Amino acid sequence: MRRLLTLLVAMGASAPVAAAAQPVDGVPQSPSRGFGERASFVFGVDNVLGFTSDRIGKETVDSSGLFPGFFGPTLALHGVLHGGLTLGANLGGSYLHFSDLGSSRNGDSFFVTTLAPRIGYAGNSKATFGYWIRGGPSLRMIFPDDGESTQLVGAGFELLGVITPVEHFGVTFGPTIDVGLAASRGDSKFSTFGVALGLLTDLGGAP
Amino acid sequence: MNHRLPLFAFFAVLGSISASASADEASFGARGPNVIVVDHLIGATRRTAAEVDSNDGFNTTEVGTSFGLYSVFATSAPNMRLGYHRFLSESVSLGAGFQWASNTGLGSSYTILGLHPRIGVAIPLSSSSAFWLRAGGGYTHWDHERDTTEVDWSVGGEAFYVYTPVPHFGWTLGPMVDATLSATFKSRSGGETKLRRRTFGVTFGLLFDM
Repeated sequence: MRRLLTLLVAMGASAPVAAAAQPVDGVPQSPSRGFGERASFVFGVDNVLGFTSDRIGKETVDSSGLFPGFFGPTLALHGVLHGGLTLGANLGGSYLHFSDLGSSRNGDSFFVTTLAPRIGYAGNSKATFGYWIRGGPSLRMIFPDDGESTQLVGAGFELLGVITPVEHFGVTFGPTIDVGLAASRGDSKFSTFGVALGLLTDLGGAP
Repeated sequence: MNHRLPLFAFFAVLGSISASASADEASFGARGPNVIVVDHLIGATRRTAAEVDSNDGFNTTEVGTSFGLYSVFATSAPNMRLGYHRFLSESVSLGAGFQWASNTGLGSSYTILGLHPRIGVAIPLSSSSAFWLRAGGGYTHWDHERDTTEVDWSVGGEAFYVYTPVPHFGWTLGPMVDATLSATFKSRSGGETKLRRRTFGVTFGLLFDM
């Protein structure tokens, strides 16, 4: 409950963004067409702020705050096709290496990555408020430098509200869920659900 | 090589955005006073933590390097920050980056809170590009397991190249550095360890100006 309240307060804090979209020097800045109609390409970063509950095997990790979750944020790269249909993918990847300072020991390192192709539909109820429904498979991989790699396959679904107070800028918010379907090692299937804010820019079309 | 493929794909997409976009007439700093940033989203960084003084035998001397998108679990990387900056004039900005992460699971829990105020100077190069130099302090509070804590006071800065291909959107790329002036780890036994933390690297981020 405390986390939910914190999240709601954070979402309320996005009000200044809408206020900042007021006309400056008489030049209207609000978009004239709604999300899903005005651009041919959407680029963004998902999972910026929110709550995530990750479950791998029998272990659960709850994260809240900025960039929550074991696999962190993902970059969203999506094309907007005719009629609001979207096609693209969310991508993530990070390589980490740890060792003792001054030690000749090689240390531990691993690479984690996310590849989540998504088909979706982007629509709007007015120029500044829209929605984006996306779904598709999710592939997550963990590659330790020493040891066996792990591949995790799931099915993901996102139901996002999209506020676009000005051209080329939007805030997404809503629930995301990913259900683990298979794992390359034992019963270590990975599932996650959460509620998160993201940021996006839409490009390439008429404003 | 495989590790770098997602990053190459990402920069290829950014290149195609740049090629198809048209910039605002005004330069960065002049075209909108309010700037939201996602700092240190992607990068290549090195972080060191060295013990300076300890009275309870606690020992942490570690080094981490990281490459790619950072998550809250990427403790060898600089924590990504969500920031807000306001341009007081066309070239001078004042703002801060925020850190907040809380994790529970796998037998442990921790919370990180951080505030990194920055004063900045924007130096426009053209209508779509600029340098944005920022410097300031930092406060970070780490709470491990609710009974061990670390408080860091630091100084840091960024020298970002800013590219704004379209109105209200741009990205940043450049070197960053953070160094603690004081870092104190207090263990559950009551002992204290003084640490020295350093982070430096080159990072990429996003900005939205309005």
